[in-house]
Amino acid sequence: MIVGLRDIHERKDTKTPLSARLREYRLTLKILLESPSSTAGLVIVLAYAAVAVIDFTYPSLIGVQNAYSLVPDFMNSVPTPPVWPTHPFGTTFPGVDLYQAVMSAIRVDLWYSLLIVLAGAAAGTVVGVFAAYVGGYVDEVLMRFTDIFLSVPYLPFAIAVAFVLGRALDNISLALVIVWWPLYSRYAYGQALSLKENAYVEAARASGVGTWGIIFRHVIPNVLTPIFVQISLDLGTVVQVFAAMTFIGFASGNPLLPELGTLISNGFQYAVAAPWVIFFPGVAILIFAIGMNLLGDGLRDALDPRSRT
Amino acid sequence: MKLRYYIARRLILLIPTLLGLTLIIFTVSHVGGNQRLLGEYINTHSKIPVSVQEQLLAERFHLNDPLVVQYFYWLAAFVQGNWGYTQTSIYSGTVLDAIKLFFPNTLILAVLASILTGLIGIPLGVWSAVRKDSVLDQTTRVVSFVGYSVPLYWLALLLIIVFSTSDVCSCLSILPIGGTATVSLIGGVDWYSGGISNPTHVLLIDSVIHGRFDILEDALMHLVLPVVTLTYGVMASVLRVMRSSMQDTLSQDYIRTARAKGLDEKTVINVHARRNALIPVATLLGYTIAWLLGGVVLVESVFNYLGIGYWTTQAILNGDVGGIMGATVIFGLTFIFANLAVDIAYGFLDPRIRH
Amino acid sequence: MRLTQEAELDLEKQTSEPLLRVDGLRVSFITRAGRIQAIDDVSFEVKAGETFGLVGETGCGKSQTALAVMRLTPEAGVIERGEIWFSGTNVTENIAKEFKLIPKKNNRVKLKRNKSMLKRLDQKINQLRGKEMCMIFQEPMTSLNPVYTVGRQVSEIMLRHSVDMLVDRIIARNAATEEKLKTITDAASRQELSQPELRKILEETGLKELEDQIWFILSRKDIGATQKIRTISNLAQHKVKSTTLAFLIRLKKSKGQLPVEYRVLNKIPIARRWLSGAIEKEALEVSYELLSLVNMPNAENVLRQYPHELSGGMRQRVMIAMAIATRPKLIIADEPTSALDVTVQAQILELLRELKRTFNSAILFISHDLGVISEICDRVGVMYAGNLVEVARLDQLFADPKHPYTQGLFASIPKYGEKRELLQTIEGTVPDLIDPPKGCRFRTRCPRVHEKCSNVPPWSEISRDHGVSCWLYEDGEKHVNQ
Repeated sequence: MIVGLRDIHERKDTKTPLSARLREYRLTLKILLESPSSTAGLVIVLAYAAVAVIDFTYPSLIGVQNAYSLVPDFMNSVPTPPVWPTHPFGTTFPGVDLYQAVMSAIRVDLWYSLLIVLAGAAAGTVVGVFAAYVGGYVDEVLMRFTDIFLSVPYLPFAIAVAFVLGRALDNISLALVIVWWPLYSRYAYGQALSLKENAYVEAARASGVGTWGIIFRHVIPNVLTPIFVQISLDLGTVVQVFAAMTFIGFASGNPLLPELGTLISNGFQYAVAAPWVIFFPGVAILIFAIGMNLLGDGLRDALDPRSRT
Repeated sequence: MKLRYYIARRLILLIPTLLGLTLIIFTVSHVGGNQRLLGEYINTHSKIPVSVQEQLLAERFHLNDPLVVQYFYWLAAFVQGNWGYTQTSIYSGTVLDAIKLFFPNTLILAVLASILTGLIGIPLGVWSAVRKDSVLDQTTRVVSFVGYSVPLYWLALLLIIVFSTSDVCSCLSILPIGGTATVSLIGGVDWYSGGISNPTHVLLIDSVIHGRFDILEDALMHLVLPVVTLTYGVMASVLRVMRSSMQDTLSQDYIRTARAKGLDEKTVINVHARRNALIPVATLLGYTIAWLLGGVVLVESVFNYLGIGYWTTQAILNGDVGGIMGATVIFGLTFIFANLAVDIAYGFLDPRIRH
Repeated sequence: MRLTQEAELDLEKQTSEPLLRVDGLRVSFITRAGRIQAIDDVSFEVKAGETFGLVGETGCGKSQTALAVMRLTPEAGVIERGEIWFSGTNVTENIAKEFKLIPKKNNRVKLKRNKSMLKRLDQKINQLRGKEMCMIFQEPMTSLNPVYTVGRQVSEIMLRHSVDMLVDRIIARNAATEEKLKTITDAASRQELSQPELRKILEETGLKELEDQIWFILSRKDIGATQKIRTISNLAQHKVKSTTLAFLIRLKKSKGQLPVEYRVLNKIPIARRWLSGAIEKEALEVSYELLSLVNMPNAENVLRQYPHELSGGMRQRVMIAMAIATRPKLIIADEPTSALDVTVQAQILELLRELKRTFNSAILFISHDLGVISEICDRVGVMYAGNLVEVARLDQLFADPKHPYTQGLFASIPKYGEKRELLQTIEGTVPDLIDPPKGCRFRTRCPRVHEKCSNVPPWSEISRDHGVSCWLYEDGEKHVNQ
């Protein structure tokens, strides 16, 4: 029996690539939700995202008066313990309500971390895929370039950058992006290499799609899966690293900017006498990192082809 | 290829890498132009007018020559040990002296943490993979998970709070090393001055040499908390990788062959599986060391532990050029040599690499 | 030792007690997708010294049968039922206590293992594995440990199972004198010695433990007669230190149970070289002999090399060397040639045939290739979808296959001189083993299917050595279906 082209087009169940991909995502979600730890991770991350968004749009919904700056009270600058309902987390130096500070800080940290990771991922993926696809001399050069950056330890490098450019949050972010992108480049490179030989790439090329078109419309979407997993794992790490650097003292730009690392360093001197001062900001970082790591691990397991049969 | 040749090759490759490092440091220190450099040396109270000073200094430091030439003069000075000056709240003097003071302490901290990680982390990872899903495995997984999710400096702070408020052991204080009370214990000692102990610069060893075991005990006590914190942080990732790598290894064909030979399970795991499972861990070691460098900075700052990390933090806060330079030098050198060690270990573990 | 083994084999042949007996074996795999019934009620025997082939398509369960015999079933698999008897020992004893299948919803089951029972069973089978029954695997590329040298991996087996032999050799060699060796070399130069003749001379001179080594030297094809004589004479020169000798004699006397002082001393690296170091060196020496036996080119260098430096054929030779090291009674070869190219394949098969002649081991040979099977097997079992459908002698199977599946297999082999348009195939595909057809599993593709086939067919003996599992032969005769 010979199947004619007309038969194919008239078949109602011909799937478009988009709906097929949506089905894949739904399957991923289903497997993810089967695992209690991954679900917990997802819940945590969503909760944090919610806080960040609300803090940005309607801060008063969660009880934050000023979302963009800490509100010091120099009259009562010494930290006071948690009191419900006025100061659920207590206050920290200099007289700042800790609860509001942490809520807004979550937004700030999440924002910066997301920016850093996405920037790094985007840059890295494009470089990696480009190198893999074009191959040859370009490939060699780009990959050597990546390797050099891959061997840079983040802290000394960030120190150097801060020294050169000045201590500011934006500069730390830049330094972290530079440290982070090579990992994505490597990842994307490996994935793209194996995908390069796939049939649909050949088909696209045969029908005349240009190099950049192929890269962006065909290769990158399929490279995205492990990249996505790596992003979710990295977000947890970057939040930590970012807060660590502000803790050390990098961000001198705006001392009233709510930021988790800054909060911890602010309360550093009072830590022993008033433990809540560092407890709450730290826990905020910890829970987010746990949630993100759980989610990332869960995603990786769910996307592992072995578990999808 | 024999292991010897592999090591020799690596050592030779070291030279260009070191040169590259000097280039980076030179760039870092000379960025911001000559003004910055001059700013350090100009004495505004001197009778000599500033412009003249500038001229003299510029000649002395060859600041008017092309950059390339400057680099060579700088390199010459660098190799001779002239690494500039540092001026921070905890120490002021030449960078070289500062390093001599701080580095041994950091070294102890890092070495102890690494040894503990190796002694505990690797066997634990192996057992965890072998006894999959057992109570030991689950506990290990949770502990390790928390370990790489927790901000290390925050954990350090928590530990400080717990140990200082509950008066569990007042000796586990966070004061800088050198004695619970500088005066009472270490002040009257003649082999310890200005923060540097003689002859080995390492307080632990020197106290034994001079027979002062009370100082030894005191120093050890001061080490406990920082070491524990740092070890926990490093061990978390090592555990995770070791466990998953061991799992992968155990599913390999050659393990089946080993069992088919009638070897007992202990031999199969310890002889055949473990060495192969260590290979990915060794690969990760480079990254772990980079992390360790960062962790050291955090932990030392929190514990006021007189090491390179603490000095770096102070340098950043005070905008101290010399300090930052020195930190970059130390970190760079450590990193390069650590990677060398990792490469050699890797070559030892995996014969395929030697070819 | 060898004498006794041969005598045993002769005895076994006489009493016709099979070396290996598999009885009603059922193996399942518990997976996410369900419970895969990989092997269902398989029974066969392998007599001492014979080569029994298991042939079938991919997925029919032949490899898993072999693995079950060695108790190497993968983590997700369980031997649910059946017995495996090897050389009079029940390998599967207590196996039911080792695991538990807990039924869950959706017809699924959960597998729970009893770790301590598993450990005990493993200890028991480790006495047999590698010693009395050895296995050669399909993938030579991944079956060797990449971080250890070939020499070390081959020696390992002997250090585990044949320490006695090694110790005997060293002691005997130490006792060998120039005159005693001269007796041998004189006899050898006079005429071509056969192995029994050599053995007699060695017994007379009290050097019978050196039989393997001397025979090996005499049968070497790469050196001339004078060189051989000289090598044998030089054996007397390879003496060990007196401390070592004392240690070894003590070891032999205490039957492997060393006194505490020696055990402690043995742990110190330097002292160790004087004590058990000699044994390890001897093991390497024997490894060299084994590698030469399997026709490994440049055997001396190969000992020092790592697996990744060898080709596929060479690696497979290493595996074979490991399999014959302890002169096992049964060698299980799981598609040993499938991963190799055709010329190497022929060499390996020839090697196996030669080894079979020399050592008289039984071989359980697994393959999907009827051609390979025909080169080496005495009897053959045909498997389909986890069932054993036919067992026969090689000549019987090829001359008169009874089961429709076997017939289909033979028919699908293109024959030289035959003119066809299309290749003959068996219609349909292999069934899903999670939910296999009830009754005869082949009935979905069988050209002779009828209503009886929805029940499990009985096993019928067509003639001596020839059995079929098919309703067509219910009464031992060909049944005519309407």
